[in-house]
Amino acid sequence: MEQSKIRALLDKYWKAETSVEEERALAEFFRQPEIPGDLEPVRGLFQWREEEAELRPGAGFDRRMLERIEGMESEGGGGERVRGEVMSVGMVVRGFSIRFAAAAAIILCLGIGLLIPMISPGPGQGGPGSAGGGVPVAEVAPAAAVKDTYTDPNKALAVVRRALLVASVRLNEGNHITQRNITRLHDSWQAVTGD
Amino acid sequence: MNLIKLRTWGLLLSLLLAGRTGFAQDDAIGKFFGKYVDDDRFTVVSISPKMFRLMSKIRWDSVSSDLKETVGKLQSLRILSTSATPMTFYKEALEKIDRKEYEELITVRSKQDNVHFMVKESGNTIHELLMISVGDDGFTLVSFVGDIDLDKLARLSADMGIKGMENLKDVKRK
Repeated sequence: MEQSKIRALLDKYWKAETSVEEERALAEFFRQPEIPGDLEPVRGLFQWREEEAELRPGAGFDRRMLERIEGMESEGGGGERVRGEVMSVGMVVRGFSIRFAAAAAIILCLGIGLLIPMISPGPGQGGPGSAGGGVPVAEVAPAAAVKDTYTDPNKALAVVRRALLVASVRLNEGNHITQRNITRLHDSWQAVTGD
Repeated sequence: MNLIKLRTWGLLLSLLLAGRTGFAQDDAIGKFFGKYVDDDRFTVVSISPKMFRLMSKIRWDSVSSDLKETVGKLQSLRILSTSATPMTFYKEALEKIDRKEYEELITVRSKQDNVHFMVKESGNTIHELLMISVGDDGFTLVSFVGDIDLDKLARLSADMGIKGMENLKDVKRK
């Protein structure tokens, strides 16, 4: 792939706008032994991704696992279960019913957990502070009841929009700083290698 | 048999309590808001899920699709800001944040201020974005709750062609 395209993709990568295919193309590029010196500092980032993907069990892993399983089985040979024993239908049903009971209990608890905040006057869930014709909504804030600041959705939208833009600007500032640091790293690399 | 029943009820009760605690909203940031919501030194903005639902019913002219989608997935917004002893409140907020719940996303340090971005996520979904900033002109804590897409969020300012710090100051004055 042309270097200009790679650089354009890298720019996208720093902005977190690359697709999976584009990241694969970048990884492919950085797998080459010869790449421009200024891109050398970035190689590590993509190599790391490759190395992580290539993690495999070492030699003899299967054998060691089988030996351990056999060892555990022979240790427990005198116990309740004998190797190769067929489970009775009753055991299967009992096992299932315990699991079903556990699952039902968890679902019940989660359901109750969800229902309790709904029943109590919550954020826009009814109650004396509910919105209706511009009446302020009671927001259940943790530890204290907080009223909705705006009764007009247009005004609320304007504030949300502004807050999101501020967050966006500051996030991008962080991204630019990261880019600057990488450039600095590259300059240091060049100073060391003389590329 | 009685012992088994007792154990079963004990287990159910603990699960029930766990379920209730899991949905409780008494997190550290919530308590922080609760503590200062009526404090005159603070400017507080709170937008509830109900208001977000009302917002979806108004006209969305001149709003970019990214912004529309981002707002559409938000459930609540809380802003707390003050110009009084900003560093004290900044330290208090940072101390109260449970680092097991909130993961540090990025920290921006500039001459004007420091900004921390923290996220609360489960799986690949960010459920809360917390922005805490402190500078000479004040302390601000912003909490966005909902389904947050950082890619879209980062694109918003680019879409609007906005750069710099001016907007943060505008929000603080609101």
